[in-house]
This record gives sequence, C-alpha cells and structure tokens, in this order.
Amino acid sequence: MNQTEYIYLQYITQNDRTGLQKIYSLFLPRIAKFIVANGGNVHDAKDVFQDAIVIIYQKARKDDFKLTSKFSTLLYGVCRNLWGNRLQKVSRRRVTFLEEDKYKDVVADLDNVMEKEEKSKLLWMAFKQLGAECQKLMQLFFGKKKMVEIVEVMGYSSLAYGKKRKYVCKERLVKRIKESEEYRLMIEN
Amino acid sequence: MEQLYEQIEAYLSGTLSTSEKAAFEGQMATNGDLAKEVRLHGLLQHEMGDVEKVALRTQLEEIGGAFDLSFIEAGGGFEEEDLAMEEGLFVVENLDDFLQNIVKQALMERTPPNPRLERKRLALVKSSVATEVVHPKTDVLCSDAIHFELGQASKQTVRLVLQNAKGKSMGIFQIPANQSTYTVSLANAVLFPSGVYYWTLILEGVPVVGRFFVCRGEDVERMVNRAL
Repeated sequence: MNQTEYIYLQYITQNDRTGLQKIYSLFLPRIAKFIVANGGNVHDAKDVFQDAIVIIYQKARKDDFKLTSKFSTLLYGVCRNLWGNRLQKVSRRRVTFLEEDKYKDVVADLDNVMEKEEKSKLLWMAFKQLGAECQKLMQLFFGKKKMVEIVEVMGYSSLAYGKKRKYVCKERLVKRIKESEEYRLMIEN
Repeated sequence: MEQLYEQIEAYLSGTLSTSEKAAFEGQMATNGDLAKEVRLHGLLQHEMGDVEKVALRTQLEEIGGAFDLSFIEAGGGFEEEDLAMEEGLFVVENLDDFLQNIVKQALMERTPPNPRLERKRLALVKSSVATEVVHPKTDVLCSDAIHFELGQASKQTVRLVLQNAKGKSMGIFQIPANQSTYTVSLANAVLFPSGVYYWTLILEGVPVVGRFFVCRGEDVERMVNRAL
C-alpha cells in the first residue's frame, strides 16, 4: 500500500490533533451521508465514526499491522459494519448494505476487535455521563495514580475525603453501566 | 458497599494476602453476583486504565463535538456515493502537470477554445498554486500561497488580480518588469476566508486565469459543496 496511506494511521496512533481533524474533515461527511441515508442521524454518524477510529487504533498500534486497502476503504468498511450491527440489534433482523462484497475482506480480520470494542464502548458511554470532577478523578484512579497524588491534584482537603469521592464517583459509574441495556446483554452472554 | 469496593480493588491489584485471597475467591465461587461485580471492576480497570486509548477517545470526542454536519441533515453532501471514497484523496505528485491542467481547464471554462492563444498562454505561465491536498471529484487544491513562475520575464509590469467567487476583487498586485517569479501569501484568514478564488494575470495583453481554494479549519467539504 502507498506510503501516503499510512500517514492516516500515524495520525491515529500518535493521537495527532491536527491530523485527526483532517481525517474528520476528509471522511466524516461521506460516512454521515451514508448513515443518514440508512436510518441514522448525524449524532449516530459521529458516534460510529469515533468508534471506527478507535477500532483502527487498536489494530494499528500493533507492530505487525498492514493496510491491505486504502485507509478510506478500511474506515468506510468499519463504519458500515458497525452501523449494520447496530441496526441489526434494534431491528433484530439481518442487515445488508449494497456492495457488501467490496468491504467484506477489508474488515474480515477486524471482527474480534470490533466485538471487544463494543464492550469498551459501553464503559466509555457511562464514563462520559459523569460530571467533570468525577471524570478527572476516575481517570487518575484508573491511571494507577497513588491516592495521595490524586488528593493533591484534585485539591481535596484530606486523604479520607479523597477516598470517599473516589468511591462515590466509581459507584456512579458502575451504576450507569449496570443500568444499560447493553450490559444486561453482555452479562447474559 | 464502600468496603466491598476496597476489597475488590485490593483483590484485582494483587495486594491481598494469600489467605485473604483464598477466602475472597471462595466467596466468589458461591456468590454469582460478587463474581459479576469483580468482573465488571476488572473490565473497568482494564479499559479505563488504558491511558492512551482514553486520551484518544477524549480528543475524538472534542473534535467530533465541534464538527458541524448540519449541511448533511439539510440534505446536502455528495451526489455520487462512492467515487471519492473509493479513490481516497491523493497528494499531487507531479505539480507541474497538474497545474498545467488546471490552467487549461480554467481557460476552457472562460474562453472559447483558440488553439493559438492557448498555446501562447500556457507558454507564458509555467506554474501557479503551491501545495497540498486535492479532492478528486472537485479538483480542490487547498492553497496556503500561490506562486507564479512565468515562462519568461515580461518587459513590462504584469498585473495580477485576485477575485473571490462572487467576482469581488481581493487585491491587485504588480509583478515588476524583468521578474519571472511571484508569490502571494494566503495566510491572512481575514483577507482570505475559506472559499474559491480566481486569479487573472494580464500578460502582454493576454489574460491568463486560474482558480484556487483556500481551506481553513474543518469546513473544507462544506465550503466545496457550496462553492461548486
């Protein structure tokens, strides 16, 4: 594959803001049009687009990843697949889009990652609903920062209070996850 | 409950003593809810502890949130579904050929074909726009500067006019006599907001025209859709 195609992967693996903005500018409108034409809205489109980039990130950060198609074809393929899966869940019917064959090979070895990412997505959605303070606190906590450090960064008055806040925020997070339909399905399976 | 969380966290981080660990695992074996709870906490630690991925998600969230797609909802967007997507976007490798084509195309659009005049014009302007990315469907070449290289330096001052899509003059520049190259910077976002522009050079009484795009921020696609 042409080296210029790899630049997009670099933008993603390096979390390069300008590069990522370029990816959004170049590819999101077309994917949004596809999703809007297939029963979604622009929020669904942004959501699917973000998930697709994270899925590609998961693959691309492994050293042995090789592009077998243009980056745009891969991105489009993953988005189609994610959107198809979501429609399928809602309608409980198999969903096939036009030109299925063209994208089948491109995303064939991504099935596993896509499934894992759907779980990860569930946690992220719950996390996003937390307030700013809890988000920051949870990020520090899961990032394995020591409690004393967390207390300092967050500007809490004492270690005991920091621990209390950590518990309250985590409780909220866990509660939101458990309330979601996806979690129920995940546990059932 | 708070104590339970502490216990689960201690178990997951491996800080329980051997006997505490055995006792905890014994509880999990008989208590399905506890086992589920531990799995969920483990999954959370695994996912949210992936600091780089969380940073990427956070960044994507910001970029996506700021990205305006209202033109898609309004029924705008692209007519041909797969063309540009399939082709991807390409970087111009041979700028000269590409520019010759643009000049040629602009000439065709603006004047009835006249082979003799066309040859003369092409000989006079060797290249124009500098840089970056081209959209295959729309021919958009996003410029941050336009650079002119005349086939030969003119004996007189050459006038260069830049106009926006509505024909409003954005500036008139003089290329001094005996100078064969000239560059206009498009860095000023106030003077040159996103949009399509036309340049006209009057060379020995013969107008030569071309088109360029200025793309700023994230509204490139929208701007292109509006402009064409």
